[in-house]
Amino acid sequence: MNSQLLVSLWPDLVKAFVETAQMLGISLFLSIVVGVPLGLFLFVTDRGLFWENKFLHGLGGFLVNVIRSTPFVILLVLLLPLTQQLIGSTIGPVAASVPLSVAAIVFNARLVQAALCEVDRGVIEAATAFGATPLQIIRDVLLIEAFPGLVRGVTVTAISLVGYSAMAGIVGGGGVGDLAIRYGYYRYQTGVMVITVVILIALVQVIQVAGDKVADNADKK
Amino acid sequence: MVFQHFNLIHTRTVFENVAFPLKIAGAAPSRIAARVPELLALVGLSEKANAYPSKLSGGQKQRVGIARALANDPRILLCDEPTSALDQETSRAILELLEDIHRKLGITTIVISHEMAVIKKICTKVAVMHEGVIVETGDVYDIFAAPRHPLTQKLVAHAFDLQLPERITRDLKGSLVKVVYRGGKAEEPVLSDTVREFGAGINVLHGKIEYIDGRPLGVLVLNVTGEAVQVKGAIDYLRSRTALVEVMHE
Repeated sequence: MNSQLLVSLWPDLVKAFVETAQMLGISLFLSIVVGVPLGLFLFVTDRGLFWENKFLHGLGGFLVNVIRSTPFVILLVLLLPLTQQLIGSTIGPVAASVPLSVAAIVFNARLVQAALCEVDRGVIEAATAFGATPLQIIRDVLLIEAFPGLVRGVTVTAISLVGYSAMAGIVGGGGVGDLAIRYGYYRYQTGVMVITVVILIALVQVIQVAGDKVADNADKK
Repeated sequence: MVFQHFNLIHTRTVFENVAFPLKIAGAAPSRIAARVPELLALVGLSEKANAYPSKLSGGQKQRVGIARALANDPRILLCDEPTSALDQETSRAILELLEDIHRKLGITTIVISHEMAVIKKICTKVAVMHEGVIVETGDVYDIFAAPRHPLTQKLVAHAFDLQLPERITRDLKGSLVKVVYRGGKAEEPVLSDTVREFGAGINVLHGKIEYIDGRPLGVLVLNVTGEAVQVKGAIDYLRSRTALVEVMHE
């Protein structure tokens, strides 16, 4: 690998990195904004909780499982009509963010649900005893007590998205992973592949370290 | 309400935990800022206001639980097994705190407990529950002196712990009786009177005097020996002079 390669690759690399950041940003944002309420919904409709509803809980869980069990490559293709409808195009990082977001939302929803299950039921009982309404319990107990777990879940989601976003290259999504496949794999430019993989490793490291730091800071157990 | 396992919010400080019910009730921030230090002072935790629950001992956590329960000036303080997760010394301190709060605030305190020692120490009235139903109620002193329901009898017997070694009951001659003294009767020389009147032999095998609500309650296990008529006379006489005589073995 020589510096000449890096220089010639630089514009492509920057573009790819911006695309990856775009895909990650959009889908991670939606995985929090939609995934957290979905995870909350799955949790509070479960047995023994204040909005217990067997039917809705079962239905929600089933839909999440259907999306979760579809391989992401298939989901990419399956959601093309939806992407076309929403974005007006199926090419580019914004279009690729549609299937990425769908996958990230259900993925994070399950992690949110798991984090909420870790909340001491006694604390919920205490809040109920003090007359807290379900919304107060969600805001002042569940989200607060589960916060470190929620942050860890978002970290895991973000890192999974780095991997998924590479696949998004298949439908013209672009990004660092796509660069690795096109130059490094299809054109046998091992140097490019190494550089992109190093970038991805660094990205994952940064996400993990940052996520751990936030979670540890919030964790008072 | 006070819980066995404290049920504090782990990610919030002591101050915020105590503020929680106030916030739920819609109290203004200024009221919360004034009320929480007051409550923490009441339970003796003023200097721990900014600590997180994980940094507190079990007893301190329960103090936070009590302060939190009192935040909205409830009429009844419900304590669900408040000392069952604590060691004996800490239990004693928490019970004294509950008594102290009861005296200071005049608040009705309901304690749910399976520990007779807790009932004996701080309660004035007791209701015994069995399979979700109240089977017996009364003053703690009366219940300990004369339990009626089999479960209550078992619980009280447990509290007095008057188990005799098997060797003694096996080789026993004469009758074995349990005598319960109440109040002033505990101070009269009943046993020596009985011996003088009937000439029966009396041997004390086991015994205990408990003070409940400041009143003495004595339980003795006696071995009464002699002629049948002497024994019967002695037991009848004991019955007339004490609260309760139960013949355990003839």
